[in-house]
Amino acid sequence: MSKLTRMNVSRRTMLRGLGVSLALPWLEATNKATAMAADAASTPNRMAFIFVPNGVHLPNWTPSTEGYGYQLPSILEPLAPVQDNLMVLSGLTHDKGRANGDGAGDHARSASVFLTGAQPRKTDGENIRSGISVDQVAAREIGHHSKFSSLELGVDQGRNTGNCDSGYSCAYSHNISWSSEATPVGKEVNPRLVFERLFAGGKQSEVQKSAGERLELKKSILDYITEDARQLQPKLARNDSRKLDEYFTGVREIERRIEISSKPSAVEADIDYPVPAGIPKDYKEHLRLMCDMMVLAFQTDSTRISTMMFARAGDNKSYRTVGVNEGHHELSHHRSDPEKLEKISRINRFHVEQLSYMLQRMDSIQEGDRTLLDNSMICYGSAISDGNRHNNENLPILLAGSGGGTIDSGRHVRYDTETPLCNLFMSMLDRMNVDVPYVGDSSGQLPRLTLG
Amino acid sequence: MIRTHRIELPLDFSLVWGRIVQYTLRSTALLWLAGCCVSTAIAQIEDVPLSKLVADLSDNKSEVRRDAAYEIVRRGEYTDDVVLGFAKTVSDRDIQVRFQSLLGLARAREKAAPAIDALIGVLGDRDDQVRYRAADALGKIGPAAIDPLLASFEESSRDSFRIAAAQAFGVMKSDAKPALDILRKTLENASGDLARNCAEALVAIEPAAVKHLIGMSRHEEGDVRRIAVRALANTGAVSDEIESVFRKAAGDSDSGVREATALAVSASNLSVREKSTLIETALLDDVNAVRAAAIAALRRAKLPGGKLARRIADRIEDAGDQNANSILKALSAIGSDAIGTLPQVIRSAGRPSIDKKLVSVTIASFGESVVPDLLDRLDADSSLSNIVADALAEIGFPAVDSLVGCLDSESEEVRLSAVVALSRITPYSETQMSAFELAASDGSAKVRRATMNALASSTSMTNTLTEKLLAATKESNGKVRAAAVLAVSSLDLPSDELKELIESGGADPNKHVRVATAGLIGLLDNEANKYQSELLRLANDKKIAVRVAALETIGMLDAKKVGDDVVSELASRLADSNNQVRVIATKCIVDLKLSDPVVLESLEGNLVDHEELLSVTLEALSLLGKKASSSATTVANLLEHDKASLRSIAVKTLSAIQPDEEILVGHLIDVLNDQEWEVRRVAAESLGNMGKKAVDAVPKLFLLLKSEEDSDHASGALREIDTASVEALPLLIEGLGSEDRRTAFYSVFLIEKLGPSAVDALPKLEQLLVGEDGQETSGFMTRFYKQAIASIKGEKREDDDD
Repeated sequence: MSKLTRMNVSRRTMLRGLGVSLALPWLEATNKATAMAADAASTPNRMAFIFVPNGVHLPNWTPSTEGYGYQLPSILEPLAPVQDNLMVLSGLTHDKGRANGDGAGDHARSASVFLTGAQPRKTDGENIRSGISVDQVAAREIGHHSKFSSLELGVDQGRNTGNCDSGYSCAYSHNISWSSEATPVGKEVNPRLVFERLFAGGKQSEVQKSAGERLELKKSILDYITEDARQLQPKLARNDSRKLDEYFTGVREIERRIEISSKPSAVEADIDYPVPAGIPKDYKEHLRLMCDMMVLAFQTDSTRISTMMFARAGDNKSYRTVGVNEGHHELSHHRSDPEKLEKISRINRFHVEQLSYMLQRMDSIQEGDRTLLDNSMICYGSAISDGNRHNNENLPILLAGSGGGTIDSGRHVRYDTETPLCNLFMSMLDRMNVDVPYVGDSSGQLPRLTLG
Repeated sequence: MIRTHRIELPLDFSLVWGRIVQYTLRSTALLWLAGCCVSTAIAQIEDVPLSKLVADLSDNKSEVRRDAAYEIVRRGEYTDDVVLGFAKTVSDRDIQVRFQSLLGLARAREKAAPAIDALIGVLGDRDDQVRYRAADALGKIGPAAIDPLLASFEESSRDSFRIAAAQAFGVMKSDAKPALDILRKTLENASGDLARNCAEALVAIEPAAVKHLIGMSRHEEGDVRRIAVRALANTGAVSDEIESVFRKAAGDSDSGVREATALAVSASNLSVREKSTLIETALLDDVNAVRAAAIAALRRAKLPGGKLARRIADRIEDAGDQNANSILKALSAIGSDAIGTLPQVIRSAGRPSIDKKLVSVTIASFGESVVPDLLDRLDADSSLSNIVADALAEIGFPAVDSLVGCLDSESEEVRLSAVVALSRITPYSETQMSAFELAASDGSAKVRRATMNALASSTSMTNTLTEKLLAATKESNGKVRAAAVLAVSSLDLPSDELKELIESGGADPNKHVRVATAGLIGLLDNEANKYQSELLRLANDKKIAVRVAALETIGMLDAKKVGDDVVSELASRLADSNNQVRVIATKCIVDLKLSDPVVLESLEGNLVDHEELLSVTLEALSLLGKKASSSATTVANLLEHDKASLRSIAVKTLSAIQPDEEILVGHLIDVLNDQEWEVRRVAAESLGNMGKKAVDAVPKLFLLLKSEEDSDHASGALREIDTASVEALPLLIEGLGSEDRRTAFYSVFLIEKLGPSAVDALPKLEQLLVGEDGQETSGFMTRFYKQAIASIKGEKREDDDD
C-alpha cells in the first residue's frame, strides 16, 4: 500500500489495490507538491490529434468572417459551448496528400499524410514508406514524463496489409500514427482494454486476477482502492475532496458504460467477424467512450499525447442515427447534389458533436485557474478538404484548447493558401517543449496563433 | 544499381496491377519471393553512399530520382554536391523530385547558397506550392540571397514573383534590412496581395519602426492598415501621435482595422482610460467580430474592471440587441469586478432579444459572493426564478447551500427553480440528496415531478429517497407518476417488485405513465426481454405515442430472445393505421434483423408512396433475402422511382430477393443507364457480386470503362465477373490497343478468359505484340498480349508451373 505524505500529495501518487493502480487527477495538493519539484511544470500541456475521413462540406464548415466573434456555421454549431476555446484554421495545406504524380488513392494518402506530412510511397506491398508522425515525434522527446508515452485510439480495427485504395497498402488508410517511416503504430479500439491499461498496476498475475474478478463479480475498479482512498481523503482540503469524489464518480460512470455497451447483443450473432468483448456496438457510444478514455488519460496525466481516428480513411459506414442510410464515402462523391451535400453535412456535424462532447468534458475538469481543455491542444480535421474534389488545400482544421494559455483561442484565422499544415504541428510541438527542426514538410512555425 | 523493385506502370494502373499479380502469380511461393526481394531492396537504400544518391538525381527514371531525393532529405546531409544536385532538380519534370529538392534546400539553410539562382528561377513558377517552397528556401539561406533577390525583384514586374520574393525577405527577418527601401517603395503603389505581403515583410524585418508603421496606418489598403495597427501595438510605444492613430483606426471604414484596434488594447501600453474608451467604442460596433475582439482583449488585458464595468453596463439599455449581448459578455470577461452591475444585468433579461443563458452566465461570472444579493432579488420578484436558478446552477457547488435554502420558499416557482438548478449540479452531494428527499414531498406537483426527473440521473440513492420514489409511482398526479416510473431505472429493485410496477404502469389510465413504462423496460438492458408481453400490450395501445414508445423498446431487445408473439405483433403493427407507427415497426424488424416470412405480407403492403416507409421497408425486405421473392416485381418497378436514393436501395433489395439470376442481370444492366452515378455504381457492384453469373453484363460494363464517372466501378465489376461470352468478342477486339488504358487492358484481360473461342482476336493481338520496327514490344501490355495469345492457342501459361 502506498504511503501518502501529509498535505502535499505527489501527482505521481497512485491509489493501489490488487492489480489496480489509480492515478490522481489534478488537485490543489498535488499542484503544491509538483510546484516544489523543479523538474516539471505544475500543469502540463497535452496534445491530441483527431482524424475524420472523406473531407467535409466546406460551405457549412467555414465561418464567413475571420477573427473573434464569428458565427458558427451549421456543422460547427455543436461547438458553441466551447467556441471561446476553439480556433478554426482555414487555408492550411497538405501538399503531400496530393497525387504528385502517383495517380489515384487520395483517401489512403489523406490518412497517412495527416500527421506525417510525408508523401507515402505508392505500394500495397511490404515496402511501405511514410514519415514519422508529429505525435510520435513528441512521444520520443517527452513521452517519459508519463505512464504511456502516447495513446493511439480508434474505432475501426486496423489492417496493415492488402490493397485498400488504388494500389495503396491498407497500412496507409488505417493509421495516422507512425513511429518510423515504415512502422504504423497500431491503435486501440476497445475501450475496456484502454481502461484496463490505464488502471492496471502491480504484477501481471494480479492485473489478470483483478480484471477477471471484476468482470465475473461485476465489481468496480474503485472497490480495490478503497483503503488508499480512505487514507487520502482526510489529508485533502474540502475542494480537493470534492474533486476526488467527482473523479471517482466519473471513473465509475465510464466503467458502467463500458459494461453496458459491451454486453453481447443480437447484432453480434450476425456479424461475420469476431468482436472482442468490450467493443460497443453503437458507433456513437463507442466514439464517446474512446473520447472519455482520452480525457481520463489526460486528466490523470497517464499520457500527454494521443491520437484518434473517428473512422478510417475512405470509410463508407452509414449514419442511420442521423438519418443517413447511404455510405459516407459514397456520399462524399456528391457532385454538388444538394441532397447528398445535406447528408454529408449531417455526418460532419455528427462527428463534430462527438468532438464537442469531449471538449466539454475537458472544459469541466478544473486544473487550478485553468481547465484541462485550457491546458491542451486538440487538433481535429481531415487531410482532404472536399470529398468530391479530393483536394488537399484549405483543409478543415480545428484547434481546441489554449495550450496552457499560449494560444489566443476563439478566432477564425485564414492562412494564405499553400501554408503547410505541418507548420501548425511545429507550433504545437513548441508548446509541448519539443524542439525539432521540422516535421514532415513544415517550413517553420504557424503564425497568428497568438495575438502578440 | 540500388533501387526499389518497382515495376513501371502507367498512372492509375496500380490497382489493376495488384489484381493482375493475383491472377498471374498464383504461386504463393513466388509472391513470397517477390516480397523478399522488395524488402531486401528497401533495406539496401539506407546503405547507399551519398555520392551515389546524388548521381541518381540525374537518372532517367523518375522513381530512381524520387528515391534518391527522399533518401537525401531523410539523411539531412547537405554537402555541396547535394546542393548542386538539388539546384538542378528544383526544375525536375517529376513533381515529387521537385518538391523534395526544394524541401532539402530549405533545410540546408545557408549551405544552400549555391542554389540561389536556381531558386530565384522557380520563384515565378506557376505552381503555388513551388513558389512557396522556393521563397522559404531563399529566406532560410539568408543574407547571401539578398542581393540577387533584390536585383530580380527590381527587374520583375510580375506580382506573383514579387509576392514570393517579399515572403522570402520576410523569412529573413532583420537580415533583410537592405530590402526595406524597395519594399517600402513597392508598398506605396501596391494593392491587394502584393501590398499585404510587402507590409508583412516590412513588419517582419523591422517590427519596431514606429514612424513607418504610422505611415502604413494611412495606406489605402485595409489589410496594410490592419497590419500596421497590430504592429504598432506590439511595439509598446506610446505618444500622442500613436494615440491618435488608434482613435482614428477605431473608426476606420474597414472592420478588419477596427477589430485589430480593439485587439491592440491588450498588447499596447496605452493608458487605462484610453484602453477603456477603445473597448467601449468596439463594444458598440455594428460588426460582431469587432465586438468579440474587444471582449477577447478585455480578457487578456486584465484592466481594473469596476469602473469600466459600470460605464459599459450603463450602455446596455440604449444599446442595440447584439451590442447588449456583447456588453454582457464583456461584463462576464471582467468577472467579479463587475459585481456592482448586477441590477443592470438582471434588468437586461427583460429584453426579449437578450440571450437568457448569457445573463445567467454573466451573473455566475461574478462569483459565489453574488449569491445572497441574487436570492434577495428572487424573494422580491419570483418571475426571476429561471434566471436565478440558471445562474446558481452555473455557479455550481458553492451555490448548493443557498439552493437548498430556497426549498423553504413559499413561492412554487422559486422551489421549482431550486430543484432544477440542484439537478444540474452533478455528481450529487449528500446535501443535494437530502434536498431531494425534502422536495419529493413538496406540495407542488411541478416540484415533485422535477425531483423525480432529477433522481432519474442519480447514480446512488438513499433509503428514504428510494421509498419516496416508489411512493411517487402511485401518487395521484399522472405526470409525477410517469417521471417516477422512469426514475425507477436508477434503483436496483427486486425483480418481483419491478414486475409489479411495470404491470401497474402498463395498465395506468394516464398515457404518460404508459409511455414511461415502455421507456423503463428499455432501460433494463438484459432484463428487458422478460417484459415482452407487457411491451406487446403497449404496442397495441390506443394512443400512438404509447405504441411508438413500446415499438422503440422492442427494437432494443435481444433478438435471440424475441418470441414468435413479438414477431406477429410487429407484423400487425406494419399495418397500423398510423404511418409513424409503421415506420418504427419496420425499423424494429431491421434492428432485430428479423427474417421471418410472417412479416413479409405486411411489408409488401408498405411498398407505398411514403418515402421513409418505403426506404425502411426495402431494407427489411433485403433481410428476408429470397424469401421475399414475391416482392421482386414491385421492387423492380421502384427502379424507376423519382428519388435516386430510393432507386439505390431498390437495386440492393432486388439483388437480395430476386431468385431468377437472368432476370436480375437484365434489370441491373438497365440500371447501368440510370442518370444518377450512385445508382449506377450500386448496380455495377451488385453485378460484380454475382461473379460469372453476370457475364451478360460484360459488354455494357466494358463500354462504361471509357466513362470518367463509371470507369472505377465498371472495372471493379469486370474483375469480379472475371469472364466474358463469345458474343462480346467483337467489342473486345475493337478495344484492343485502345487509347483508353482501361479499355485496352480489359479487352486483352477478357479475351484471355475466352481461350480458343477468341481466335478472331489473334491477328490483332499478334499485330500489337510487334512494334513498327518489326521487333517485339516491351511495354506494360506485352506480357498480357502474350498470355492472351497463349490462351487462344491453348498453350500452357508461363506461370502455371509456379
